[in-house]
Amino acid sequence: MASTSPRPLAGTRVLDFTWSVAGPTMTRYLASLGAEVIKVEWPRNADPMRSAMYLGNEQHKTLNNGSFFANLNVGKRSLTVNLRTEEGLAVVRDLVRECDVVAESFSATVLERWGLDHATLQHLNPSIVYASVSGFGHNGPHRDKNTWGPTAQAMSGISAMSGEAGAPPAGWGWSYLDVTSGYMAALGVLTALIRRQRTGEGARLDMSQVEVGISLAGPGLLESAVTGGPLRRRGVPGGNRSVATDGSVVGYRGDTAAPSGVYRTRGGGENDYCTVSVADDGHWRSLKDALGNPAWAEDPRYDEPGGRAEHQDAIDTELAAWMAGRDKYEAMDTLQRYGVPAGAVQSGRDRVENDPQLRSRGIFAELEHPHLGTQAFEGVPFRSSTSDYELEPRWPLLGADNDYVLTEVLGYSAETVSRLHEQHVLWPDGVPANPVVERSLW
Amino acid sequence: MLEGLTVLELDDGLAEFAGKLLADSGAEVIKIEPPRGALGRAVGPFVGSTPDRTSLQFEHYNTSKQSVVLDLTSEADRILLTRLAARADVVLDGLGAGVADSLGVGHTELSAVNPALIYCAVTPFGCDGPWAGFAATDLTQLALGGVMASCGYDDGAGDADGTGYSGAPVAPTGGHVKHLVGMMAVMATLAAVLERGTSGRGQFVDVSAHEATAVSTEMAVPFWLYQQREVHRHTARHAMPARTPRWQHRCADGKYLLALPLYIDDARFAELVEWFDSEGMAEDLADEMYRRSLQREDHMFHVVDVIGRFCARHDSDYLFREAQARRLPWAPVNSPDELLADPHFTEHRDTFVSVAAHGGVHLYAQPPFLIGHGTSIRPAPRLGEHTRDVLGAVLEDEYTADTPARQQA
Repeated sequence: MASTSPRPLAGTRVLDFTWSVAGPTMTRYLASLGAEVIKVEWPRNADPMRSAMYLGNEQHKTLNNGSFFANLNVGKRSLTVNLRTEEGLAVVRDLVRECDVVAESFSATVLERWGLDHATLQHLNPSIVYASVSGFGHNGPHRDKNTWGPTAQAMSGISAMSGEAGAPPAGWGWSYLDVTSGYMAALGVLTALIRRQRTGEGARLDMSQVEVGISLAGPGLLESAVTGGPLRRRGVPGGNRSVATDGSVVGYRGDTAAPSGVYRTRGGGENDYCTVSVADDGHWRSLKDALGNPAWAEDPRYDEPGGRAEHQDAIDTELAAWMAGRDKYEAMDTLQRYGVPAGAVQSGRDRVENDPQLRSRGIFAELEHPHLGTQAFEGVPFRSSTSDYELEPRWPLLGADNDYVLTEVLGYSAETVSRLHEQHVLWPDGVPANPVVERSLW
Repeated sequence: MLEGLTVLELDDGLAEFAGKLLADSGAEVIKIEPPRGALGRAVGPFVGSTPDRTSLQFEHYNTSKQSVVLDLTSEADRILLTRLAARADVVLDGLGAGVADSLGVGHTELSAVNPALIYCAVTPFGCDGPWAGFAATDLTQLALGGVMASCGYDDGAGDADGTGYSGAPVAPTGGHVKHLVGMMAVMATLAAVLERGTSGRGQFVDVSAHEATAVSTEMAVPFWLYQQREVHRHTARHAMPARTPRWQHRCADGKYLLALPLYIDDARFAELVEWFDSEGMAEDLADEMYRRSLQREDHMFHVVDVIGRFCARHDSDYLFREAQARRLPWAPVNSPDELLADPHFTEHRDTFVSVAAHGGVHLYAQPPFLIGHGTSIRPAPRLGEHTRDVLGAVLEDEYTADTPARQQA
């Protein structure tokens, strides 16, 4: 039962100033691991992701029922406080003393301007772990440049590493560096907490999304550094291939598979495709068996990797013909029965409705949201024998945890809390409790 | 950061990025290799020629690790592995679902000698479920995990070399399934280390590359869950349910620019118009109808066409500099190696670390969460480089531990 399994970060408290996607991804995972995450906002300029995406039939859009936001921020609490007032900043300074981690994803100088630079945070709480996520990091000539996930992707080189040979870059169809910067930042916080458990020391983690991209660019960067040759001139990236016809690596996928490609399957839809990878001689023999040992496949040149690489155009033509009449899952299952790495191209719908593995593993969790009813949310992609990683049905409804934070975390008296309310430090005068949204982003 | 943490890595590729992150962060990561060497040693790109060639694929993913050769098909070596596990904090098992179990060195056997052991199984699909035994590569997992459905071309650009791939899904290169599951494996492992710090207990962790990939595509799944809409592939920009204007333009120098037309408020747009106008290329963008974002949004296809014509006449470095001076979130579409010449990364930040490796000087990216911490990265080990030292230490420790008892006797 969930209630009897501990969460590893139980007792760890995160003061969360992050917004958009990268920073909130970090704190989403910290919350999933059991941390108490207190998301700090001011309703007049709340996290824009609150109005990013609603249910398709939503008639009443508010700052509290954005479905994309709910999925991204599940497990967190909400504190609203005006950081443009001295009283509000005093609340935050008190919170820094009660927290283990301060997380933010503003431009490089914002926390400094609030008087909350790292030295001040350390003064308030010597063992604090301060994690920031920004485009280029908090120093250097690019520090103040304007970036979003796609900007960082272009800059870092990972956009250029996606695409067909000789064609313009295909890039990434979403902000991959928002997602992965969130993951890397969570890893940074965990490493810092482990060191703190051992030594008592805090840490400053200055995460740059561009540097996350560099760390995920793969071995091509090393090859270029060692050989002194630019990647761009070598037919890199090579589409979906692992190696070029001369056997040189163009995919940096950790294999030298040939064929390695995506093939149209029955249906003609945008995602009616199946991939096949023949990474070794065993896969090749299995593929021949799966196809019924057709005459074309008996060509002895195909019996060794170099020959398959050289002739992958011809093999692709034959595989494409075999695939054309089959459903993508049928093709995949047939090839997998023989042990051939094959995988259907799965859309969002496919992953939710047609993927027996994700269903069996229960990756999409149904939870009750106070403003959305029962909805499915993306779960945590690992399980543990002893720790509970089920999503907790808790959402940062704007200001919903103000009294908890002020009274239970900070121990403020009822008089102090009501004074802060009266001074509109906790909620802007004249703004309704559940602000309505006119336009959503998506 | 992770000094004092000992990790055994049993891997055929899927767990090695996780091991690299741990090793580059200070953990002692002992890679257990079969006598033939890890599979990655035989995967290019290579430098040098056979038989002394070095796999840069292997070098890249195995920095800061130690290499110990054990033949897990031999009883004697399995006992040695068990002894190593008795002293380790973590086992990272990337051999595939059930493989270590079938060799008799799975979680059951190793946790029996070390109840505090954290055993992290990194598998393509997870340890159970209908696809648990399926064969997988980076490509097939990028397809199943939804990455490919969101990446590709909607303008025929991918067909430029006549591959016939027009509109087909594209799998970004670089090994991202290993990266995604690696990050998740480290997350689960470090969480378990923290948990053990208070409970003293080890645990079994089951990390699925398929799940790690499937939950990492941002809007594609939420669009289906919440609006029952599918996203469509768009060249070099977000896959979305509706068509959107281009973000990527070819510049005069042949490089591309990512000219993100989002988040451009009215003040920024006014500066853009002034800039373009100063070169006589603003066309009609100074018109009142573009001034306010609410109306401008209805004409973004045209606005972006004007941006595209401006880019075509200028070099990418000029566009980057001048756009950023106007707070426009634009950047050149660099090849990764171009950053090796950018002082922001090479002088002002310790993004790259230079390492004296066996075949010459190698450059590696630091773990991005440790920038500024002066981390040291060691070169990837030669096959069995640490076998004697590591196994010798185990046997010696056991001998020393036994000694007092013998002396008493």
